[in-house]
This record gives sequence, structure tokens and C-alpha cells, in this order.
Amino acid sequence: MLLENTCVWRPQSLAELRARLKQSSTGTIQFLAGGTDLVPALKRQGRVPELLVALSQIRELAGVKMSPTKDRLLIGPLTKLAQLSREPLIQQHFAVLGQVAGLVASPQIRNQATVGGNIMVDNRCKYYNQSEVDRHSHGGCFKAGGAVCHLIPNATRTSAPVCRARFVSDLAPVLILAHCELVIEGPQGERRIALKDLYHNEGLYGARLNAGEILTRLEIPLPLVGKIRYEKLRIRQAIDFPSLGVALSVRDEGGSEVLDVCLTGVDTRPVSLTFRPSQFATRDDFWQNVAQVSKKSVVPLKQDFFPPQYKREMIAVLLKRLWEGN
Amino acid sequence: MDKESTDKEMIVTLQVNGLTVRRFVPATMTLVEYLREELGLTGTKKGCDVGDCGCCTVLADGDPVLSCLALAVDFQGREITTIEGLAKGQELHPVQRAFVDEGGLQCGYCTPAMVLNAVALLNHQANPSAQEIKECISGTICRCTGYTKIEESIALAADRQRGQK
Repeated sequence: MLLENTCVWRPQSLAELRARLKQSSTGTIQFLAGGTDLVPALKRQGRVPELLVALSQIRELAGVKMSPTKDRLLIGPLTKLAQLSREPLIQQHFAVLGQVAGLVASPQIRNQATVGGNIMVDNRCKYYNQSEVDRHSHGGCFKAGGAVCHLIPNATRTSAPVCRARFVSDLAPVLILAHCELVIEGPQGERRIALKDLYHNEGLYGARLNAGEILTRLEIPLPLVGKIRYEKLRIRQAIDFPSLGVALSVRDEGGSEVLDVCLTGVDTRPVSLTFRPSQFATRDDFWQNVAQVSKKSVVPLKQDFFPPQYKREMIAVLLKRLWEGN
Repeated sequence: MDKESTDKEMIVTLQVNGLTVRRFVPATMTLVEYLREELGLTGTKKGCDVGDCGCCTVLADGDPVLSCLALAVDFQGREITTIEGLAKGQELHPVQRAFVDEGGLQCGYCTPAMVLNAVALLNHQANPSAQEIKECISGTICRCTGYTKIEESIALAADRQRGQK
């Protein structure tokens, strides 16, 4: 049994959900969307919510549509990744997002996982994403409620909690380059936040949502600024989270090309960089600069099959492939 | 008189292999537990139980999903197809027949999932490419066959479906 003492509630509409969230005594709540990230986490960790709010019935939160003014793409956070790949509006206005959704995990998982779940996927670490027995066998880490970080040997009980669990969403870097905004509802009403501001520097925490808040919509301004592309490094071409994901947007600035880059898989949050090739005398000088800057901008640690130094070097390799390959 | 659903125990009604089934189960019961423990449909395998191996694949309204990653209650009213729902009496489903004829299995643990993945593919794509066949089974791990015989089995099933073999 998953969680014997946990209650499950399945609201049928956003209005029903809002009404209950306004009640003060809701205890510890966990929202359940596709479940592909959360269910394994609940099975593996001792952190048990009192109430699991299963969102799958709230139809207003699923689907893709155009804003009435035709200048924003509106994506419901409960839209399944498989549905996103097939969605005509996405293919017409933001095809790369559909392609990236098709790179996430496996076909089965894409039939279950949601857009909201992907951008708010919990940070992962080889010491944390293990069974409870395994985690406690070598001392629980800060993220598991313990007092050590196994990736940073001198971070112990005496230091402030630190966590280098890495950010692994595939959709987020592409959405950040598209200047995606989130609409969030909570007991205090509605607020908007740029997707790039959703994340913490520490791997300990998930997305910056307050208690009782829920993501209700993603908004992407149209037309997109620049042409966006994405490439993903992983050992297996299915199932695996990105060991490194590189999103690139090429835009024009006063007649010169500007490269906006967003990285995933190599730090505790998405990392944004900007490069201006026109500032360099030769293409070789430019790529040398890209290699140096990108290596210094991220802190990948030994968290998967690829050595950290390899991942650092692959950033420039994938960027070059993305830029020059088109 | 039936018990009523609460936040901890719920009546879960599903269409499983064409039959309506109704069980009063703990609200956090996963779909794989519902199928195996409540309905005795043990053809759906519980492997890693965290969504990595793909052995627990079933079809929900025709689409492959991992039954270990979802609560049974979240499939309320939906149509679930397990491996037990494919054959008609003693007559195997064409995809099952192709797996037998082509030797697309060894230990058999992943076979229900592989077959269901293939059924879902062939329902949407009568003439799948080699790449589409690889992709359709890419979320299910086989430790025995090396995948080649499985891919050949699916290709054979596709050929037969189109009347070419």
C-alpha cells in the first residue's frame, strides 16, 4: 500500500478546490497530478502528507488554447506531455516544445506526466532518490531530513543545510527562453511569476510555491523571440532524466546574432547564459569563450554516469551543434 | 448496503477488459495493486514499482500507462486493458500469436507489457517503421532477449495485420 494513513480528495473543479484551500485546517497537503515523479517519491520517503489532492478531474487545468487577444499561448498545467506533442496549436506556434515533450522519459510516462509536473519536478540526487533503507544505510542527507551532504564532504551537521540535488526538467529551459509566465492561485488570490523566478538555488526545495498555492496556467507570449532549439545528453535514449539539457534561442539584436542559452541537469536550478558572437574577432575565439564561460557557470557534481568535467565540456559541444547545425 | 466512499477508502469502478468492476479499496491503492490483489489479474507484473522498468504497463483508454505510478481511483470510469483481456477464449490476440511464432520472449516477465505496447502502437499505426517499433517498447526493459526478437515479433504482427504474411 502506498500510504495507509493518507486521505485522498479528488476535486471536480477549480472552484471546489479553491473553496477547500481557503479552509485553514487542511493539514499537510500534497497535490498529485500525473504522479510519475511524486508517487515514487512517496513510496521511497517517510514524508507522508495528511491529504493527497488528486487533480486529474479538474478539466479547466488541462489543454492548450490561444488567448482571446491571439498573442499568448495558454497551456493548462495538467496537459499530458503526450498530448502536448500532438497539440496542433503547439505544432503551429511552438513546435520545439512539442518535440522536447516527446524526449521526456518513456512513452508510458508521457501518457501520464503533466506539463506542470515537469516544470516542478523535484531536484534529483543519486543519494536521495533511493529507498529509505538505502538512504539511512549511509546516513540521511539534508534533503532526506538528515544532517550531511554526501556530495560535499565538509557539509555536515555543523553547517547550514546544503543540497546539490540537480534540476532535471526538460521543458523548463525551453519555456524560460520563450519568456513563459506562470499564473498561480492561492489563499491570497492570484499572482503571476516568470518561470525563471520559480526556482531555488538550493536543491533542498522544490518550486517556489507557498502553502496551498497551485499553478493554474502557463502563458507564452507570441510570436516567440528567436528560434529555439534543444538537445539532451543522457546515457539511454529513453527513460533517463537529462544529464545535461541545452536550450538555445538565437535572436537578432541590431543586426547581430545573440545566443540566449538555458541549461538543465547540471545545477540546482536552470542556468541562463547569453553569448554575443559579434564581440569576437574569429569564430574560434568565440567558441573558446563559450567553453570557458559555460564551464564556470555550472556546478555539476558526481551524480550520474557522466563525470562532472565531461558534462561541463559537453555544454559548448551541444551548443555548437545546435547553432551550427541549423 | 454498499459502504460509502470516504477520503481514506473509496469505491473504485473501472471497465477492466470489457467488464465493469467495482471494489471498495483504500484510496491510495495503486492501479497495479488493484488489478493484481483485488481482481487477481496477475498478468500485470510489479517490477521496480517506481516507474523505471515498465513491466506494469496496461492500456488506459488504449494508451499505455504505468500502473505502479497511478492511484486506481484516478482511473475511475476509464477502460483498462490488461494482458488477460487480449485473447478471445483460446484464440490468442494476433500480437500474442506473433510473439509465440517469432520467439519474442524468454523469461516472460516483461512480455505482457511488451505485447500491450505493441497492441497500442498497431492500433494507431498499421505500418510502423523500425524506429517506431523501437520507440514503442523503449519504456519497458527486457533483461533476456536483447530486444531484437521482440522487435521482429511486432513487425510480424504488423505484417499479418496488413495481410502481408
